[in-house]
Amino acid sequence: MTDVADRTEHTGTMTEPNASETTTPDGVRGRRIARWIAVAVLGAVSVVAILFSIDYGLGTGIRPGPGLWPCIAAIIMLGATVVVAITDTLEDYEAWGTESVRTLIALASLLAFAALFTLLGFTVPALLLMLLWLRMFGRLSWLKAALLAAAGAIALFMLFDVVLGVPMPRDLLMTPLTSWM
Amino acid sequence: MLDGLLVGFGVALDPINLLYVFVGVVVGTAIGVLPGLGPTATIALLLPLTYALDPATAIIMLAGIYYGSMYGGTITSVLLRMPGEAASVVTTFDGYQMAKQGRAGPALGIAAIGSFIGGIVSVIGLAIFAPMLADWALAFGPVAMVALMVLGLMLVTSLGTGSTWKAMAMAALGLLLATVGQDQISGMPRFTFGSASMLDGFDFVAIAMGLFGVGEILHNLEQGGHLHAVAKKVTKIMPTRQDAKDSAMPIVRGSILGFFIGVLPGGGGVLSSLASYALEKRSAKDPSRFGKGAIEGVAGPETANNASSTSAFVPLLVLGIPSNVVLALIFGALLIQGITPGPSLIPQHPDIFWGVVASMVIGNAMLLILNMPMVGVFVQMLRVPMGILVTFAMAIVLIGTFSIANDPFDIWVVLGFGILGWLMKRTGFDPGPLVLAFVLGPILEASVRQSLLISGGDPTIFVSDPIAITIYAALALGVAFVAVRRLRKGRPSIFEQARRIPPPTGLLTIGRAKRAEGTTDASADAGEDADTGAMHPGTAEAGEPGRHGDEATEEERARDARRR
Repeated sequence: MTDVADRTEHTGTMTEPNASETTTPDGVRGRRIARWIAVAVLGAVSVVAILFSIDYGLGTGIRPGPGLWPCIAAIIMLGATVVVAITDTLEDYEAWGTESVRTLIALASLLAFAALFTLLGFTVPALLLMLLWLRMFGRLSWLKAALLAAAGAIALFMLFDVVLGVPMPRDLLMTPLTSWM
Repeated sequence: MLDGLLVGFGVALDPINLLYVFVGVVVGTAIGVLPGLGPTATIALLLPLTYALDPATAIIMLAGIYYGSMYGGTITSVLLRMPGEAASVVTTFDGYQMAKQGRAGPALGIAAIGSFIGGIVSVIGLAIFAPMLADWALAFGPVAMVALMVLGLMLVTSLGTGSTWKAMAMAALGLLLATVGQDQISGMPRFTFGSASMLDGFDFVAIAMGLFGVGEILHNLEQGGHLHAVAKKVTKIMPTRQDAKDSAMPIVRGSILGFFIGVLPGGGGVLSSLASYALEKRSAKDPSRFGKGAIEGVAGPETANNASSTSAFVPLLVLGIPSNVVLALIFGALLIQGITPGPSLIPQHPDIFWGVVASMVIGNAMLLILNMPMVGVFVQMLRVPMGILVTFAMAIVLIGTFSIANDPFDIWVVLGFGILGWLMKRTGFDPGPLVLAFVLGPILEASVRQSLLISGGDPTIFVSDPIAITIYAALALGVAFVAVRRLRKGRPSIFEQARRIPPPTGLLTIGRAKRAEGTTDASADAGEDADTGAMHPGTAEAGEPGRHGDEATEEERARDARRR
């Protein structure tokens, strides 16, 4: 364990492109881009936050203003980001590959759920989401996935709506059913 | 104390609380077994469910999940060399070797017994020290609180996994996110960009569920997550007389070491099991057996990680400082209930403190039963395909999020933080310090501004208090020590090693371990760590003198913590 850590420590002190190429031959370019984007986003957020804080008012010596604390936090963040930009190795960054496409599909389905939730209630969007996920990630047959998704969506609705008493929004499937009961 | 314990058992033996401590430890063991959902993600997912519970019941259940996961994490470490949560990584070194030699039963048995003893010792320590410390901490003013919180944040950023600077950037981002919404003092809206939904600031539960729940799930999807079929039968759980004799001292040492390391901010979990492993190896007559299936290498660390997960409640319940991310979530759960943990918690809410303490005794006894005769049941759980588990976890997140405030806006917030958490995982930024800083942020800001108002804007007030000076001096010493070590380029310390262990994402660990097995990749990860630990015991031995130094610092820090 010790020698592994030694090696990684070592890469930090070497010139960075060589170091990353010797340790991780795959996806160096992608990793480097990921790191620069991360640093740029963090840097931008902290600079914007500093500007806003100054606008909110740092206050005088006697009365610290509402902007003082966020300004201190943003300055620490900017400082740490600068150090990360200079010293960080590429080891932590994952290259983007084809497997990310699955995650992007998953994300799209989640956003679709959020949009449909207010319109159709919980069960129908949840059923569709679970069906997709169980088929895609659980590799179940369509029939098994559909049965499990329907059971899961209805069980969760019952748990939160009936048992825990959460006022769920009007549900396309369950509201007519439960009101009839 | 006896009065307190009586109150506590009165609370803990209430049928509802008995039920929830049982639910907590079963869920904890289960998620400890299942790689992919660590205690952090699970507690984040279950936070909305705690709204409906009494504060004591909520904390009893969440604590049960935390220490239950310490037991459960052992099972897969031993059987499959897959740590179910980060603290069990060390167990893979010797536990998996024992399993290969057909001694999986005794390895699991001794781990359960050790965890039980460690847990009980730590509960006793908690019951004795916490009220004493709380009495003393009641006198802390805002200046001392600022110093304590700075210490907590610094330790968590420097002891966490990954790069310290990245952790610091995340902690600062957490402080910044905590300022979103109306300013407590002037009432001015900050960073709301004109949105009324943002006036109350971000909801802690939404952030925790997004970063840990959704972020983790999305990241797991990429790792594939095909588990090995588990068909191993575990037999002969009871350790032999010789096993018991070999493990007795490691368990005693592990209990004490674990308790004191757990009290340190950032100390629970991984650090304690690593420290215990190093200690056992150093005190063994024949250190070369380590990494080849030495039962001491399972007994010590397993005892220590459970002891530390219990004693980690000391700083939370006494000072109001969560010492790691799991406790930050429990802190959040208390805040939701309208209770701010701090020195006044024990006098004001004795039922919560003593109830939790007593429930830990009961919970650990339940876990001993769950993990000895019933270990096979949990092993079978590994047959549930990851895709199904992840799908259900996601559905729970979505409906749970809505139930936070019955506001669909929170679903968008959770998904937004989920995307952020996923991207952070991909770029090696640890969400832990962010969440911790987000929790501490409002209290820290209020204390800083209060102090400045008291002093009339004079910043020297922050070093005017003897407690604060002691804390800052200890911090400065620690920073100087690390800097000197770095300059001398010594062997990586135990803190460094702890940092190399990936965060408790089971599947991430598996993914990395697989990659490490397939290639000769030099990135430091669990798989490699286990390999080097198991196959080159010589290299680890060479690190002995370095470790000696580190042990001393830990004891120093533990002593510091006690003095405080």
